[in-house]
Amino acid sequence: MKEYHYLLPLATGYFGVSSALYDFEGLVVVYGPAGGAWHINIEDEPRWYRGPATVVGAGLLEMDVILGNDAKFIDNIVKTAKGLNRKFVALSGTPISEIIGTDLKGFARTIEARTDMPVFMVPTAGSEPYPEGASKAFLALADKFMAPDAPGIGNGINVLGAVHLSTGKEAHLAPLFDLLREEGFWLVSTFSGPVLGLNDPLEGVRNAPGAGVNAVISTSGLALAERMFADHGIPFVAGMPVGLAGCNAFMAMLRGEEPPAPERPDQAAPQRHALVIGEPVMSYGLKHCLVHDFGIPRVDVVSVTPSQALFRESPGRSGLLAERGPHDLDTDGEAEIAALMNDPSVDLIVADPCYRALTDGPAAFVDLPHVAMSARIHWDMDYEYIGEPGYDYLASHLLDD
Amino acid sequence: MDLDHARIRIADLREKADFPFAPLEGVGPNLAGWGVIETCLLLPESVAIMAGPSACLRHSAFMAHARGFTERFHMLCIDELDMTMGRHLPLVEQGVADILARRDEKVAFLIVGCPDYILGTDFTGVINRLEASTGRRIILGAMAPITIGLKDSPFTSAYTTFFEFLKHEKRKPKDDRLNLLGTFMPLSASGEFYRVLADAGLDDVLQIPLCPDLETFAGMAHAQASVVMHPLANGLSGKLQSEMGIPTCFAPTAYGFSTIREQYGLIGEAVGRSLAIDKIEADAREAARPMLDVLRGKNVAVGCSINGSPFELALFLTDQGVNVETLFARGTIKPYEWKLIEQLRAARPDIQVYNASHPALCGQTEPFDHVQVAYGVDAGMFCANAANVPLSRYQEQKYGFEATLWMLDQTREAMEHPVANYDWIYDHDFLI
Repeated sequence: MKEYHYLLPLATGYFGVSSALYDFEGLVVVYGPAGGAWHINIEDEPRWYRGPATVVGAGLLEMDVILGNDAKFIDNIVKTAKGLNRKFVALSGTPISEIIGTDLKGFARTIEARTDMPVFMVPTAGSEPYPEGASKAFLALADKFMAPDAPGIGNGINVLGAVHLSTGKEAHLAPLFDLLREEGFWLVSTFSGPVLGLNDPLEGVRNAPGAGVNAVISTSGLALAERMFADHGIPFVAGMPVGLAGCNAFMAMLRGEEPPAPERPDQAAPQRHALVIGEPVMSYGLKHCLVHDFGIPRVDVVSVTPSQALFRESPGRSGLLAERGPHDLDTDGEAEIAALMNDPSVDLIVADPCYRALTDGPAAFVDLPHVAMSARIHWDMDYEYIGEPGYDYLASHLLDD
Repeated sequence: MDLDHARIRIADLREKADFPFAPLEGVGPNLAGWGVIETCLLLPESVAIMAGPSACLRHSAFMAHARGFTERFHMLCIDELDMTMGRHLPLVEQGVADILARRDEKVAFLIVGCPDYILGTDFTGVINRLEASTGRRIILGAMAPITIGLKDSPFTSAYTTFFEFLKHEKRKPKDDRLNLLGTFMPLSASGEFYRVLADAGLDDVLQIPLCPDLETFAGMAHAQASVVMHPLANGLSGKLQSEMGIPTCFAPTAYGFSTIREQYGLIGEAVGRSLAIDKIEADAREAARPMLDVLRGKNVAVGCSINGSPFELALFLTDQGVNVETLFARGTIKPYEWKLIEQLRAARPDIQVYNASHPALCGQTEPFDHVQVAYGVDAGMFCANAANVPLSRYQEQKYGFEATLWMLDQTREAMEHPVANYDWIYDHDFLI
């Protein structure tokens, strides 16, 4: 049993579902008591501000749970979905629906029959890591909307796993999209939001099977990438192109080339032992940057969500910007992380600002918000991680003027 | 589904069933206020330990960070399967014991969530053993939104549990002592209310957020009366009255001159003294006049996230000739508010009352573009062009005519130096 005191427990499954589906103009129904959806919107989903009804709660009450008022809630969902004219309905489970065994798959079939709208359920409960919920949501979205016979686009690319809980504001991804364009790629879909210039927010998803390669930038996108390789033969590269060397390597992998040997950094950072805490793909991208752009000899990664999927053998993976080290660890345990942060040899920590509460040691601390940890608390903070802006942000903290 | 589904003319709002029904919870900005954990932690020398699925704990953790009570709050994560199988009881027992071994508070609130509530988990044995082994008082509470509208709210229940620390006191009534219940931000001892009480010889006023320890808090058992400033405290004041004979007076935060006068009258009756407020009221009316003159030409909306009742504020403003045409409310209209609604119905039957959590209202701003002043961050969410006056209970707690003047001063400030609704919510955390 985990104990938390200074940290927030990380976002869980249905938060991931919401994050993955939020931008597609659907209706995500969090099937639980009042408050479940409320917390997501108010705290974890700043895109909610003055937006239409997107993540809504079923508002289950005690007697509904005891008496099983399924028909009433199906009616409520049908009425709302039809009334709001959304593009689809997604049902997501909570601890209560898990405990009482609500048949959300049956709900989905019934609601679809009664609304003529695309309806699907995403099996979540309340304790699983958020990437699992996001990953299941992407698969469900693909099952529902991807067009298997989408026309091929040789230089087309899908960016998978761009959930705001992992990658923050969409603006932080702009340098990646710019780089992809400069490299001659055509962005077919981001799979977590509409592609700029397309009227239908789901058009990118429909066209996704036509892409020539997938870029997976968080673990939430791995299962979909593997599915797309199995079904459509699309290879994928996994990694987050943090900083300069990371970008060069990532782009080379996407081009199907060997990554260039990293050059010695012009100016090395004074730190000798860094600890990076966060989502695995992001954290390994940061590790690559700290080692190759800043010459830090030892960088350990604490993946706060499971990283196994990133390193497992996968026939579709044509590139991986992540190198597991002997001291890397998967844990979201507060005490364990605090112990690592307070290791006297650690002289640099890169993590969400919430982790500052776990140490008062002398190690330098570079803030890199992880929305799945700090929700909206640091949403508006100025920071970057991809490409040159990412290098500049880190350099401003690590290098002397 | 359009706005008509989310609103009702106040002329037609006569009972709870009339309030616009939200088929799904549209996540309105309508729940700013008391959390279970922060309510528990009002009790001095207490620590709160919440046990449940991570998803449920995350919200309370966020609130702890935003409101600054992290230090006295711990969480134990339990997964759904362990709860369903009842395997979590020994885990919780050990977890609480471990935490208390590192802390010196005398009281621990063990807060569980909807799953344990629905499963009917019996924590009696756990609590008995923990009390025996730690020597602390363990109070079981629930953050269970699944009970909304059916029982006392979780916040009221948590506040009511404070009676456990009063009921064993041997009551020795003190003539000059008064309990103020229902304040979160404490009412200032240098403010109007304390002065009025002191002038009447009541200079020993106890408020829970100002009690440094349980011993001071226990002094509430000896007060000659309690004044309740927020309905949340009605459960506790009711027990103090029925089980200890301490008379109670419900006089919630208000803004209207006549309401405030009535409330002072009620408080005077409860304490058996005459409270001298004539000059204070006259001065307040005089001081309020210029600002009310400015407001009279404006279109105004009032939301339910303000400290006090939106219906009471709307009634006051309407009585003063201000054009209140929009209210944002929740379905949980409090019993005392129906009388206010009746008066509003007579004064301005065309006021539209919106269900702030109706999905048809989400994202709607255009219908409210003409509103110039919006009270409450919920009203400010929808009234995008309005000067937003939060009147949040997390700003300052004012009472009496001072609250009216504070409200008007806040209005002037918002009109002269507007702060964006986004900033009130995301920078000032007035909506959690």
